[in-house]
Amino acid sequence: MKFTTNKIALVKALNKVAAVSTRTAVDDTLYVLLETVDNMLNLTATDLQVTMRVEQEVIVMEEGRLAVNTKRLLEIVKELPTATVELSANEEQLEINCESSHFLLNGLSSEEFLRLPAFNPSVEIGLPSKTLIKMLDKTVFCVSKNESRPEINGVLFDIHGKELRVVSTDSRRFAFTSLSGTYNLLQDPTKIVILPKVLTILIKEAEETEEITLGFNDRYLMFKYDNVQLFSLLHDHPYPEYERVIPNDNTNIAKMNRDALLGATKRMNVLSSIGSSQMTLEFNQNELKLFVTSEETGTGDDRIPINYTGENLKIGFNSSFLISLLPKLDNEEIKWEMGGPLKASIIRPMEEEKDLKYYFLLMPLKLPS
Amino acid sequence: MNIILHVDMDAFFASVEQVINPSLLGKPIAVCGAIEGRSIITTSSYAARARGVKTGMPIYLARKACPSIILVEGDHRKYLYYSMQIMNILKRFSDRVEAYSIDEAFLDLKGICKDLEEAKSLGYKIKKTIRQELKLPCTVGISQAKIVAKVATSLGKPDGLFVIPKNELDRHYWTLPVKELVGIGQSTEVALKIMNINTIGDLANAPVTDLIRRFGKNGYWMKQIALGNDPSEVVHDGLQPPPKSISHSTTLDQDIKDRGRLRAVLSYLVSKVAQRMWVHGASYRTIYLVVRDSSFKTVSIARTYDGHDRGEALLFLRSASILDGWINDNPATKVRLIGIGISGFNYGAYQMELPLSRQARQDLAVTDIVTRVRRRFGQNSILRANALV
Repeated sequence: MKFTTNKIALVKALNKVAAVSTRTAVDDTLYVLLETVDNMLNLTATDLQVTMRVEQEVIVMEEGRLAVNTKRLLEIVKELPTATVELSANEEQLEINCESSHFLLNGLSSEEFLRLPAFNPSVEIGLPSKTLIKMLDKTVFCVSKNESRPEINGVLFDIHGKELRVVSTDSRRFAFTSLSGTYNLLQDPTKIVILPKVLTILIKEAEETEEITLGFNDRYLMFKYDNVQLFSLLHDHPYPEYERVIPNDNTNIAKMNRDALLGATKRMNVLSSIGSSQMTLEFNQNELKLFVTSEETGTGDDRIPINYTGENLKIGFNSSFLISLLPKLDNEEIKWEMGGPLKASIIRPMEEEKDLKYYFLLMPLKLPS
Repeated sequence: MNIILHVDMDAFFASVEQVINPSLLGKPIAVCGAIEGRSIITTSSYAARARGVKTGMPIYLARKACPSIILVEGDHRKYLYYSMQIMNILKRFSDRVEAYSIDEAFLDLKGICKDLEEAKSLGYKIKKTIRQELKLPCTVGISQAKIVAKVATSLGKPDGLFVIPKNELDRHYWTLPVKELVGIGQSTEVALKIMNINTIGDLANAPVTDLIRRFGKNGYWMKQIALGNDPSEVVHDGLQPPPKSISHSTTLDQDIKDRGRLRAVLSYLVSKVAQRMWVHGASYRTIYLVVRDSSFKTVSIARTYDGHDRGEALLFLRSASILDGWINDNPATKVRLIGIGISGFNYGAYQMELPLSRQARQDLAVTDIVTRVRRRFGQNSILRANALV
């Protein structure tokens, strides 16, 4: 293998595949497979759960392949002068030449590198990237991390006709998003469950692009955009029938300002976060009273104006859940619909967008009697 | 005015056996570990005691002392069941009840009775209620301090009621030998004898400086107790601080590595942990598994979850998955002791869950009912089937 490229393009491509790394810093054990075919360099990295492939146009002198440590290669290339870089490889080492700099980096023969199974998606659909990322941002955060509940460890893509629903839950919160209208998706109703990691990468990496292609068959899925392909296994635990838990008869409705509620909740959270994040809310006609009582730390209360129709209601909520959820609402005015102190409540934006609908379910805390 | 009432069941295990099998009533019977072998007498009826049978006596000696003795193998589950019934009755008379042992309790009557006279009639009422509902005899002791009330009970035995008012300590309390006091064992008794202290009264009159020189801080408390100034409170449920963790462990009859049997033991331990958690109204965030192998190497594996939970089925699933992980890492290792604990409690509000799966929905409802059954009929009255493997 032998090719030349410019330093900046190579750093960019390496930075992209490094996103597969489990931690924020690039994982020391992450290898990248460099492969030259025609006039293309393919960079592939995997952590076994997610595999990313980036295509980069280079000038290929000789076809071939070698896997090297991603972090080390990236660090070397970053430090090189901004100039043309020549990379060549035998079976064991990658040689890097750039002006007066010269490196021989030990590699991993491509046989040792994980071989990707051939993947032919049986279905491919194009999705508007900005909307999809918005949907993912509103759902990935509330996926359950509880390993004993594998059925809710992923995000559900529920596709039917012209509607794509992306939903998630940790059994205490539930996020619902729905894209519908102009896009012709699939005739047959289809449900796939995707582990959050590949989606987190997508949120971070695919913001700039126009369209994202989602492809899948019965085992694998793929996201494709620009020069990037992301692969992952489908999560094979059937998702619970979420429609049944969405209440449709919540008659106590409070309208309020999102930031006023968020601010007051954050203030209460200073005391409540030490224990169970327990916060009590009292909904009255024109006012919402929030308070915390903690034996360890003390007490606090706050009030915000609301527009409320329904019975006077005293209801407990986890303040941390509200703090994570409220910023996901794009509208400044929000609507909170409650069934009762022990029933699921719905928080939604006052005004809905044309093609994107979303809301959140939040289960209350049962207050000690 | 502080008023403490002490209840002590008379020949408890033997009396329970007589209630269950009335043909034993009035006869010399003794409860022992096992009828055959080297077992000793745990309790005996008063008819047996009159013939010289004593607690702790080997069976063959008891047979010698009383050839007509009827031996009964003890069954702790029966006694626990009756013990719970007794405690439940006592809680009707005071909200501050301390279960001091399986057959003994203290009741704090401050604010319930205005003087010892009233306490006395309440004491008779308690005796009558226990006798009527459970057919069991007991003795009641009443005083202004816990330790004196306990001494009063021993003076009232059997089936009696005895009151020691503070101004009559000289008559009923100070005349007793020091060994009657809780906490004064044989060696302390000998040490006191050397100081010429034989009765509780001697102890009450001894210079505190001498006692402190000989026994340190304990010397001070010994004198206080002899003076009838027992400062200890009736430790009832409302006074006990909520636990920071709950755990149960057991050493296995023999070392095993069989996954199914280990899971069975684990299931049993989980039921005990879950029961206590539920009774305390707590929910946990952290589970820790303790395993000691046959070479006495002990490991503790902890796992913390992202929210608080309290269902027994989920607790078992999680514990079993931790155990499975350990077995997979140590497939050939035999286990000597296994323990399971939970911590990171939340006592306040409980996070509700969306009814997403039937299992999760049922877990809490089942745990609630099972806990109530166990409270009433004993821990082993209802178990998960996998504990029986």
